[in-house]
Amino acid sequence: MRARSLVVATVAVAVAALAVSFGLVAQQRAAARFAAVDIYVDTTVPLAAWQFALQERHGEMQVVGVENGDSRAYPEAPYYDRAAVDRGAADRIIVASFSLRPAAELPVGRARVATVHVRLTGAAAPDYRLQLVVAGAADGRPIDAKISLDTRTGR
Amino acid sequence: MHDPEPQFEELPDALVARLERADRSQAIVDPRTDRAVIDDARRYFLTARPRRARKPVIRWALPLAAAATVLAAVLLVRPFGSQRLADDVDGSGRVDVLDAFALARSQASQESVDALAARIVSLGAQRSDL
Repeated sequence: MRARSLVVATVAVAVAALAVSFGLVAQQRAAARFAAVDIYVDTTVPLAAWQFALQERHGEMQVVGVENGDSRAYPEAPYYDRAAVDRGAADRIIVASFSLRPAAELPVGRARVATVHVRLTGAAAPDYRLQLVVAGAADGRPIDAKISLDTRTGR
Repeated sequence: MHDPEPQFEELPDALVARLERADRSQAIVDPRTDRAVIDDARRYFLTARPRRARKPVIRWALPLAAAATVLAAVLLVRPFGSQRLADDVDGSGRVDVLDAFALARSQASQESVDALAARIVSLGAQRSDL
């Protein structure tokens, strides 16, 4: 009788532990979501080169892709660490690009230079840290510029 | 002329005999005294010799250690430093996309431009950007 009670109690504890585990996994899956982070650079002179770094302060971001911006002066995808992104190891990203087009064809003012697609985990709202490393003019000299971001949440 | 020889001939026989005995006598060294002298000598040279031998080692130890440290630092730092200097195409003192841009403007091959850009955006490199 006593042995049977012990077995029943053990099974009950195991079932409860499994239920809690499945609940946690389901919660984690529900918390993971995708977002697109649009990066804008604002200059008063034609923008020929730019480089920025993006990270999430809580470390709850995984970069899953990067696409180029709106300007026709930048037809190619920007430079970034594709290997790290493909490995799923990019919890931050450095993105850069340049254009050899003449200054007249380069973007001026606020221009979307790239979109970073990210997978977010955790319940808290993401706290992005965006840093403009450098921006350059057509003659290669560094120029003053402002950088900002907009986010679009996915599923 | 004064001849000293006759003086010795004038010494008394008893004195001559004693002097001859003294001249023949040998110093008797006690084995304990002998051992003590040897032990003292060993102690002296055991402590004195290494001190004299260690001096040159100490004298050279510091310069040798300093030289080894400098050599190790050069070997360890130079590959990365030289790579960083080579990548600083525009001479700004930092390596960023403007260097890849400058390389592209100088009609360099697309491969070399892409390789430099890949190093610039690499997350594996120890960078202070983030």
